[in-house]
Amino acid sequence: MFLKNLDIFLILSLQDTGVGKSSIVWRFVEDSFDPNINPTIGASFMTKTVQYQNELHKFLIWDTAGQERFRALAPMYYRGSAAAIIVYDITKEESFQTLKNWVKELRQHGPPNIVVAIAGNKCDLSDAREVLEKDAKDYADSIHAIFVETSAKNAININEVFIEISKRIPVADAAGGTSGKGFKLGRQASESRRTCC
Amino acid sequence: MSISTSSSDTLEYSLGQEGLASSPSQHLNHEDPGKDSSEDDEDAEEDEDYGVGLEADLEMRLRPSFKARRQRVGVSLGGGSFILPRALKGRFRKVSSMLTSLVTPERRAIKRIAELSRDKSSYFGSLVQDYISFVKENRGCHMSGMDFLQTLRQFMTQMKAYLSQSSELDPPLESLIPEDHIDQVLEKAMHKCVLKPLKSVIEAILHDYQVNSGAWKQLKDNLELAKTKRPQQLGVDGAIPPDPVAIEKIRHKFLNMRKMYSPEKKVSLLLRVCKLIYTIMQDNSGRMYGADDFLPMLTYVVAQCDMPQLDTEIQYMMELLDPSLLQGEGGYYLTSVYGAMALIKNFQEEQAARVLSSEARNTLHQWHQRRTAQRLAPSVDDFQNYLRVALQDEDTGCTAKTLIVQPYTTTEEVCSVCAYKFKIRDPENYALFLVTEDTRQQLAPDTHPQRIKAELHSRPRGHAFHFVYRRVFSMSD
Repeated sequence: MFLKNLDIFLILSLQDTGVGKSSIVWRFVEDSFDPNINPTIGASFMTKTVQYQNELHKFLIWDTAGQERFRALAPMYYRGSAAAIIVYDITKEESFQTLKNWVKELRQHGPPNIVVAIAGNKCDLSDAREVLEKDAKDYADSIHAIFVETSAKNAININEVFIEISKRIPVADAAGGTSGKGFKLGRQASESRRTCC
Repeated sequence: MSISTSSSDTLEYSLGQEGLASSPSQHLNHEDPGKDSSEDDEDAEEDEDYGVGLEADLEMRLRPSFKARRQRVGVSLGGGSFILPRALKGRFRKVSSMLTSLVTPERRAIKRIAELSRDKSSYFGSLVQDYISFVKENRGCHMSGMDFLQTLRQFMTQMKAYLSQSSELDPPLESLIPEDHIDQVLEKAMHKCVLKPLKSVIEAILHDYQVNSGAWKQLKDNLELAKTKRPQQLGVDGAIPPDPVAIEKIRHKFLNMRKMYSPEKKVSLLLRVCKLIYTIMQDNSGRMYGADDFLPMLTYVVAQCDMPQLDTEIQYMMELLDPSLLQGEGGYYLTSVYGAMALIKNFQEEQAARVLSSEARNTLHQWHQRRTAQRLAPSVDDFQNYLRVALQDEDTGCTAKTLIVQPYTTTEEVCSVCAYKFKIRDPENYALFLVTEDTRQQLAPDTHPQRIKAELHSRPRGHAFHFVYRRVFSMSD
């Protein structure tokens, strides 16, 4: 089975940085294919391995702080990424607007072929919904982004986000998807090939 | 010598090893750059030739072998948790130290390159020595500290390229180490030949630039101010910060980091600091934290440590680290500590503007573009279905072959291919071992070498490892 390393930039565009956010980071990665190969320092840099066809895709997930004062650091974190996952809160319209700013920034300053995935996180209550699924889906389609509504609480659709990203990441060379030392093969590939979008 | 290992760390490590010795697969996972367990090894490596004499050399060889012995004692006895009586261990130690000197061709290669670098009659030696004298004599001839570090990095990269092509090394590197490790070995050798003799000069040069540009004063003033801030004022929201005792411990780790000349080792100490901060945050609350909580906390910790020298340390790592190591956790946390420091450096300005200065932002852009421009092409045995195995023989040394090994081929099957390829007459006395920088373990017949390789390759920070096919020594040896 091939093992391929992919860099992913995770943006959590959630308005209040209270209890919810860190559990989402964790939820995004915890049901890892092989928990033993998860890095051990902490949850701001994590890996998640997903099986896709006959390849194992290992996502190296760079989380960055969303607070304004750290915002200027973001390009440093997403610059080498093959994909970015932007999470917003379906119960907060404002978080969806922030998401749009992130998309704009990524399109302007991010790697040219970066795959964008938008994840609407339903915290618990869909009756408190402020962002309609259709609106978000339309927006995602208009920017050729992956769209999915997830539930970090119940781990719904989380794996699907990664699988969808795998589908859009260009296939590795015939010689095999490989990587040593965790360097960015995903990025290398995305520079030389065009994705479907 | 700077023996920085605290006794408690060492103890933890020994206990860990003892417990894990019986389970090779567990041990694989156990080894990561952020763990305290590597502290021993780092000091050993860094100190290796402060004393040039044979005695020191022997002593250094004993240290890693001591660990290797623990491994093998447990593993080669069939995986049981059997522990040898003390009296026997002494004998094993002797045998294994001899073996270790055989199985660390990388160290031999580094040593050889270091010798050559001091030999002014060789072309390589004269280049290195001339460069060292040039740096010492022309301290102010660069635009900035960063400019200086960049030329230093460039010099090392050029020397690596020269060594990998020239025939000055005898025997050639290819005969000592597998191709895919040559770059790593050359990198380490450059640290030793260039960075080590220049360490204090580099520090002085960087400091001079800081002082002359006014950056030092700005840094000190802002650090002073940032230090008075409560965690909440730096953006910490909820998580409990490290107490003064923990801050002191972190400071101590940073001080150790300053003693290292290898950018790689510095980064691994930085990772340990980050790990410690995380542990404290989690222990106090029992929950996980992402970057929203970690970055402010890191900023708070850096401010509390009150070490303006950290700024040049970060610069040193960012500019001199082997580019291939900038990905993964090393690159991630280095980026984070750079951000934390930039925030502190511009603390007054930041309070007004609430954002990082555009200067810091531009520097980061440039740095990232520059440092990730170079990419390494994977070598043939990075590819799945190939496995490079070295035969280790007391008489002829090491010979390596690249074999076709499918992902689900077992160690037992690989052994029989090796027996055939290397023309071994008594294959029953041979086994496949996984050898890393400081450990060696016999692989059980039903394990899958390709999967182990994939696992090792997937580590964010690559560790050197080899598969070695060699004779198993029975207890009577």
